[in-house]
Amino acid sequence: MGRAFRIINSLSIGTKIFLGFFVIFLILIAQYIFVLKTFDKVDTYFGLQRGLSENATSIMAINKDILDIQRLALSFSTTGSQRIMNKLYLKYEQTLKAITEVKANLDDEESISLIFDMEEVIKRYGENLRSLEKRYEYRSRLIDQLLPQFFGQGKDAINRLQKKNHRYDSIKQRWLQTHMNAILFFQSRRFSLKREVSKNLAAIKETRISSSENSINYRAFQRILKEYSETFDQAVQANRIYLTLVNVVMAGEAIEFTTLADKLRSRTLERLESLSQRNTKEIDHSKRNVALIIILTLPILFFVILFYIRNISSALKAISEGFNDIIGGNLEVQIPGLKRRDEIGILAQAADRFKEVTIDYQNAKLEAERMARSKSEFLANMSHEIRTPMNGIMGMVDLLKDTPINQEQLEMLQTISSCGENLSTILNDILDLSKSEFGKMKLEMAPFNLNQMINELESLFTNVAKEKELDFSCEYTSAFSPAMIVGDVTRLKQVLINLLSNGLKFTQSGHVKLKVSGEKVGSSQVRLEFEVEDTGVGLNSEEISRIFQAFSQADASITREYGGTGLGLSISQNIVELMGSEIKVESVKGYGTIFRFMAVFPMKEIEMVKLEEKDKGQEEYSSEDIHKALLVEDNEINIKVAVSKLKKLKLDVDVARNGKEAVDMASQELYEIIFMDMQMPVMDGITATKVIKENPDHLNHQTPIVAMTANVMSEDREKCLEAGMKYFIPKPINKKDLHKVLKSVFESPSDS
Amino acid sequence: MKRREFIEGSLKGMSGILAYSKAPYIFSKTQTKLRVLGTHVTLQEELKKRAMKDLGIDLIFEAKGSAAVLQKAAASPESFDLYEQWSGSINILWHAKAIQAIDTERLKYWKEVNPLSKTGKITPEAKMGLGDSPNKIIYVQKDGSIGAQASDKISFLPYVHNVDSFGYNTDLIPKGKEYDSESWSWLLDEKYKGKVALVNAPTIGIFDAALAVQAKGLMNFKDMGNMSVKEIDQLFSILMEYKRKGHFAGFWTSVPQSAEFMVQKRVWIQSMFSPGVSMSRGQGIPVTYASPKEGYRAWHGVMCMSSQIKDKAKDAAYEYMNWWLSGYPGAFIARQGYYISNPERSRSLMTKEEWDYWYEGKPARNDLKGTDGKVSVKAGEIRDGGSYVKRFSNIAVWNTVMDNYDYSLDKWYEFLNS
Repeated sequence: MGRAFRIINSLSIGTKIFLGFFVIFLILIAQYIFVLKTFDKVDTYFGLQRGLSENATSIMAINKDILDIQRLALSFSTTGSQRIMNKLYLKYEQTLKAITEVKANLDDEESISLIFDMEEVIKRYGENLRSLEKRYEYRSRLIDQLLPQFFGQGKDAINRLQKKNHRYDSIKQRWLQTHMNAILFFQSRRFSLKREVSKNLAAIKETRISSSENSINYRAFQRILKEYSETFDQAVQANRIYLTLVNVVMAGEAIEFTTLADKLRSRTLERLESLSQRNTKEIDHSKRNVALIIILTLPILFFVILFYIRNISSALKAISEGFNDIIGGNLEVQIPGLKRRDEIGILAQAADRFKEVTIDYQNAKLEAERMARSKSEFLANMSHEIRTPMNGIMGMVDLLKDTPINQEQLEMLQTISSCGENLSTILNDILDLSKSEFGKMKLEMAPFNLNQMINELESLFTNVAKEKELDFSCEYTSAFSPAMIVGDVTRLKQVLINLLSNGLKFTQSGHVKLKVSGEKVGSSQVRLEFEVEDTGVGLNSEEISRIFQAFSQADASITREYGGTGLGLSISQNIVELMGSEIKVESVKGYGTIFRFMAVFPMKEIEMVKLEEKDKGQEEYSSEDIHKALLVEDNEINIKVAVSKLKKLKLDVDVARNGKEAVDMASQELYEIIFMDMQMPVMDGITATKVIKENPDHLNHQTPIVAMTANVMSEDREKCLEAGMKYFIPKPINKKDLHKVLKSVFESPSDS
Repeated sequence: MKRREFIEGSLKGMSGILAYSKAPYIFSKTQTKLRVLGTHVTLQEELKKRAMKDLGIDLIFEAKGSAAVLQKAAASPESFDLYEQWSGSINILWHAKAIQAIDTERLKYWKEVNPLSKTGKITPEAKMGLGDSPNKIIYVQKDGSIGAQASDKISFLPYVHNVDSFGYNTDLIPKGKEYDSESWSWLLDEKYKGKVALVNAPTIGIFDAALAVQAKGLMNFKDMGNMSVKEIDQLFSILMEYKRKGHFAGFWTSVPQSAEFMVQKRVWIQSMFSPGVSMSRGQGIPVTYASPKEGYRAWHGVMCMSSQIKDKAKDAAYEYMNWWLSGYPGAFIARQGYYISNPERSRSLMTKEEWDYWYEGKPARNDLKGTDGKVSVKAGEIRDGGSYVKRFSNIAVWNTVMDNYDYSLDKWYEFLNS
């Protein structure tokens, strides 16, 4: 079986389909042959039935013949007619012949046995026919010839005696009586008559008429009397023998013949009936068989179809699913049917090859992505690494400013400070870009005041615009004005700053304007449209298509002429896309440019405004009390910068060089605040914070811990907060951030 | 088709198969010829050979069916020397003047012939069977007629005899008890309707039917052995009523046919002769030969001398008759279940076991062989009906040619055709 399947599987699909149909064709042929055979059988039965019917008719005819024969025999027994006897023989021969004919047509054992018995009986009957003639003659001679003859002779003798003696009258009377009784006896066969005959004969014999006893006539009469008496006795026996033959023997044979014929007839009818039943049965049987064949054919058909489904359709489906899987990225998928030698095998091999190619492609892609990521990580790390010394430089510049220096030195310091800030901006841009490109940038959702933001932007660029003698304005133009909206104000500001600074940068005369319009969407949302319009150099369409690509500016010369990283628009576009929108550009070369984007923001209730206003009024932190603080930082420059900044704010600072040291120190001394760096040798900040915060019995369990790190990505922040840190200050340390945290920790005890 | 062998063919037909002997010896032309006409019951090849050897005469056997034999003998006494059949022939042959009286003086063993043939009773206590008991037809009377009055002239030599009843297939009919539940009435039991057969012979079958009718309580006979016309009319009207209802399956005319009826299961119960019972059993049909409580129907074989026989042939006929009673033939036919009129002479030629089984009615102590050399009786079997004496003490009626025989022939014919 398995071998057969292997052989079938190695055939081409065309051959398989041919084989399937060939099997069905064979079944149909078999069915046809079977039905044909049934017809043949039924036909044979009909033939047999016809033969049997003919036999039944013949047997009935034979039975009638034997009755005719018996009737003729009876006729003969009363008449003795030779003509009847001839007819009897003729009829007998005919019957015998008819039996022989029927015999030749019989085929079952029982019927044959019956017809042989019938033949035997009819033959015996025939033999008896020959005897019948002889016995008839014998009886006839005695009864019809001799007896009347002796009676006549007796009568004559009595007459002669009577002439001489009248006493013979009574003897004559008796003689007549005797013969009459004898004739009657042979007719009626009554024993009383026979007895009468014997009695009369004895009486006649005993009668003594003395005078004539010795006469010749008397002696002659006595002799006749004896002859008559003996002839009568013989006639009685002859009659018995004859009657036995006719009444017993021949009648018995005829009866037996009739019985056998009846049996044969009923046997024949029985067979006819059984034949007809067999016929019906045969037809029923064949009906059933045809149905059975159909029923049996169904599984075969089903099997063939199943074979096609499994072998061809399913295989094709499996292969196409394989393709889908490969396309969907599942490269573990095993392609079925690789070992098949038919077309599906070839297809499977093609799919397998496709899989291999895809795997190669995927690997190449992964490799490329890995390379890109590592590049980006390298950039991020580099910027981080650069930022730390930058922090130091900037911190030292700030500190230097507070030392007694001359004007020239102050200006030099300011230049250093300005260059440092530029460098910081570039670094932040690189970080932002890598974050946004790898989808690591997340927008924060916090309430902010839109008008305040617009005002801040205006005040931010007013001086620059004034210097360039440009007409500059930032304004909200719509009648509908939402008090507070929810969104990432920092990122939104970043985009607008970028657009405005670009506008101011590339506009030599005319104006730069920010127009914000708002429109209520539903009950709680607002769609804002931001539009930055300048009358600057303008862009052609080719330039427009390039400006949003990273590291590209409208013209390579722009970098030289205007500076900047060229990442700003790219980052801005990424941010706006995160907001679910896109920045669109309209520009005419030489006349100016309009950057425009729209975004939908949820609106916030009024009380938030109050909070915001309250915060606004208390920006600066100042304290009379000295608070105990622990600074955890591994970088010596950072330690110097941080310690000097914190001391200015009346904090008594202890320094731990890594997480381990911090944990140890914190278990010795109670601090009011802990500043924790993230990346440190021995133990990092997260681990140290967890050690302190997860143990409720720890001395500084309640102490607020402030994260200080150059890792500014939002997941870093989440990690910090998860570990139990309360605040987050990105490095380089911003004065405003520091004040805000300290105010929160020390001025609002209820908040901490 | 198997060739029918008419062993007994009681009323087989007017003609039969001529069985001239194929003499194994060369006889001189002067050797006495003796022509025996009879049936296959006694005209057996083994007996002929033995007799020819013992007697040195040339025996010519002519065996035919009983009716044919009788007709031939009655019509042509010159065609035979000795005639062998049963007692039903005597009246016919005697009146037809076909046979002559036998001189008891010339019969060597006449004195040994037992009382059954001479008085009709096997023992003084035995029941006297009705009808033609052998003693009523054996003695030649002074007036030339035959009668019961003893004389030294007899119409036949008494030799083979037996009792008959009916046989039944115990596969189909529960086996009854001998002389107790087994009854002639079974032949008319409605349970066996369509499965009953009678022998087609008025001198025999009429008595089976009469015994059945009487046992069934349907009528009584003043003298069953000599029925009146009225009684015959009544008997046949009862029988015809049964026949009309389909009670009878057939009327057999020969022993093999009767066996065939049984073997084919055409009948379950029927009048039977003992060889028919043996044949049926031989073919595997368990036929029980009943011992009816009403008594048996008995028959007696007769050996008669042709009225035309004389001189040397007559001497040879006496020799042959004497040989028959000399022992050997009696022992021979005993093994076929028949009895001989002087059994004691045969006793020494039989084994003790054979004698005990066949004559004494005792269980066979070992397997007994039939005349064909095959085992016919298995050890432990008991003969149905018991001993010879017991069986012949229970004779209901003898096969008889009644006064109204002529009348009964018409009635029989009517019965067959009804």
